[in-house]
Amino acid sequence: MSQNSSSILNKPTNLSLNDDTYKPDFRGVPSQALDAIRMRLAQLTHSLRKIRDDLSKAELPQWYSLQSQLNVTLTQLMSVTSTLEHFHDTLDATVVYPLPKFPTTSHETLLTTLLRKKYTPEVDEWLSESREASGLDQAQLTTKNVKQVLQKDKECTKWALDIFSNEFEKYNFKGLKTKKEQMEGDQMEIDYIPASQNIKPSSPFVIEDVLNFVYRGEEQGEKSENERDDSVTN
Amino acid sequence: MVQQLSLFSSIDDKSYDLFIATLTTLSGNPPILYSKLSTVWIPNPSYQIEGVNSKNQLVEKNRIKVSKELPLEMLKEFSTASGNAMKYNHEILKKLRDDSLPIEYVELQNMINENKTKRSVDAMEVDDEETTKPDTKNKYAWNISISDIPAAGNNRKVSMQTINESILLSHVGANSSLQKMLNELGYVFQYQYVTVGARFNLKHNLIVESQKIWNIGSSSKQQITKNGFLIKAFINVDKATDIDRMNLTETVLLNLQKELQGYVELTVPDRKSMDSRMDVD
Amino acid sequence: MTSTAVIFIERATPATLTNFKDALANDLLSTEGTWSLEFRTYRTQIKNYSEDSRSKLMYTMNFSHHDENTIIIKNKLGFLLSSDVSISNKITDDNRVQNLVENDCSTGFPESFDILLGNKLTNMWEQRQILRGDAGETFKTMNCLIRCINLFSSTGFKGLIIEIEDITKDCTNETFTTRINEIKELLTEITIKEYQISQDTLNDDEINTDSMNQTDYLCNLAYQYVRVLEY
Repeated sequence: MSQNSSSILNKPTNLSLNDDTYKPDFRGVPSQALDAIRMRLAQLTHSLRKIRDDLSKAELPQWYSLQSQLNVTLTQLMSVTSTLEHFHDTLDATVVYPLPKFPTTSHETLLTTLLRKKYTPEVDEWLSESREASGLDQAQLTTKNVKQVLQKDKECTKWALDIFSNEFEKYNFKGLKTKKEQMEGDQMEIDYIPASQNIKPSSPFVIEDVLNFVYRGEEQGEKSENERDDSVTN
Repeated sequence: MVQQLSLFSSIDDKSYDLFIATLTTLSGNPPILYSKLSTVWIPNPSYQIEGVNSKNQLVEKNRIKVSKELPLEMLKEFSTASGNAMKYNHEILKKLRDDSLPIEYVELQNMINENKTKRSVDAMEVDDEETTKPDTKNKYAWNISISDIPAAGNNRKVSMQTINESILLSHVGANSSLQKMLNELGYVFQYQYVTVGARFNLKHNLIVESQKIWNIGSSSKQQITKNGFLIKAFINVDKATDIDRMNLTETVLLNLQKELQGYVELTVPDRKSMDSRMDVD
Repeated sequence: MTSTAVIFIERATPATLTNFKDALANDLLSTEGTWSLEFRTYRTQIKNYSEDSRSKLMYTMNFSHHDENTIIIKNKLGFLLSSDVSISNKITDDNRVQNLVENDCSTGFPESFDILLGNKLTNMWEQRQILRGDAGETFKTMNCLIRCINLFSSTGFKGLIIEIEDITKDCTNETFTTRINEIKELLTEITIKEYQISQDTLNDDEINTDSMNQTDYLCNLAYQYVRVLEY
């Protein structure tokens, strides 16, 4: 239905609209790039749809399964972006046009979508939204300004990361002791040993024995003592 | 009438640190150390008590549990001094491994028999000698409770027990005391025990406790939870008729059970072990 | 300490209360809120209970204007039991009850002791009688609070209760006796000759009355009710 050519020169100028014997030249189609993107987009839409369905269910799934799904989706989104970037040059130079046999009347919407050069309204909306969210003055938005802003942003991020790592150093996120306790080296206490070999506590007594005492004063082994008494008297 | 929904487990002494760390992480708060005295009373055996009331309804003889908090100062020798103040925290429990406990039978019996005359004399003595007696902080109030056998049913996911309780605030009269009140009711002392535990308050009124329990007899002391701790997770619901609350409460407990699965297995104990009724003679 | 006395007029008529109010009107400063009470009598079901000459009867009282408390009176002993954690914190003015909750002694939802007796101990204690008084009136004079209430049992009208409570700070036994005599005169004025009156207290004689507190006062008040109602 459509043909892409990587070069304007390749554009077939001599075609006649009613020529059935016309053989389109598919060599120029960047099928590798398109296929890669198609695959990743398919994955992404699938994941997004799944999240949307999960969230609209009456009972929410466990938080950890939602989180892992979101992680997967974000990775896929990254993958789409990087693929787009990778094929940026090829795709930028690709022009779409319909073949003579394309059923223009029955598939008009598809055709107009494919041939559209302006952004669709919702894309325009996204763009302006993100511009607004960036808090920049739209009117003064020159390339230089943007670069400056980006630079500032990077600096800010770096500063935050430094602060974070400094603060992170100050606390202990593992074990049972605070950093302060660790530094002071409280000699009295036994060091916390990651109990890899002894994670599961063993059961030192039968719960019911304790409860029998708590609720009725029955002592452990009382019964056997009684039995012994019996055997003596007998 | 309170419904107590609970699950139990046990851990050994060695696992205490990790358990405390785990629950501290879960609850977001450090544990609170507490100690209490529980005294258990039975209908006076010399009385002829029928198993039915005047309307010929079956009423079984039940034990009464009377309990009050014990001042942590009683565990002074195990506390760690920090500055001038004594520090009482869950670490104390690690030092309480055997049968001994610095709490004496006579001391506890005195609390039960405490009457007004003696109380004022005690207070005066303290003032005169400037000694710090541990029980000066210990204000008079006892909780009196009677519990049912937990609800029956094979498929119970949590233990569900009805508790009736009232709080004794004070008494007046010649030689009046807690002992006297229960004697007048027709009850006599059976046994007493001391619980020292670490307590975590979690969301939805969920409380998790790790307890050590000592039987304080007249001639000997015995730790019932030797080598370990009794773990009790529970929620009290004041309205048993509120089905939604009951279901929610059960879910909260089951979520904790799920959370700790593979580490500490919370289970429903045999309901017979939580039955405080007298044996039928 | 707070001195109280309770008067019970068994042969009262509806007019008695009106007449008494009229007689009191000369000294009246203001009228205060309404109140109600419940008075229960329990009798033991234990056959050989009285072998050591214990009384077979036990009384419990609840006053609407004295918070969620139940007072047990038995053998000249008074016990004050609470059925509300926050209110009892207020009465004792410290956290002794909260301590019970925080130390795993109480679930935090106590109830009236009558519920324990009625739910769990009916094989030992049977409720024989319940006297109720509703919409009682309170009158304030220069030095006293005077509470009046008509008591009813399940069978009907039982009589009129007049409760006198001294509200001055420096009340001695002598001044309180004067107040009682004033009330007695009022009763003579309205031609009430037969009544029961009690000023008894449960405290041991050896104890200095200064050390008496709010909780003792409630037990003593309940004891006075028992004295006049069970003469």
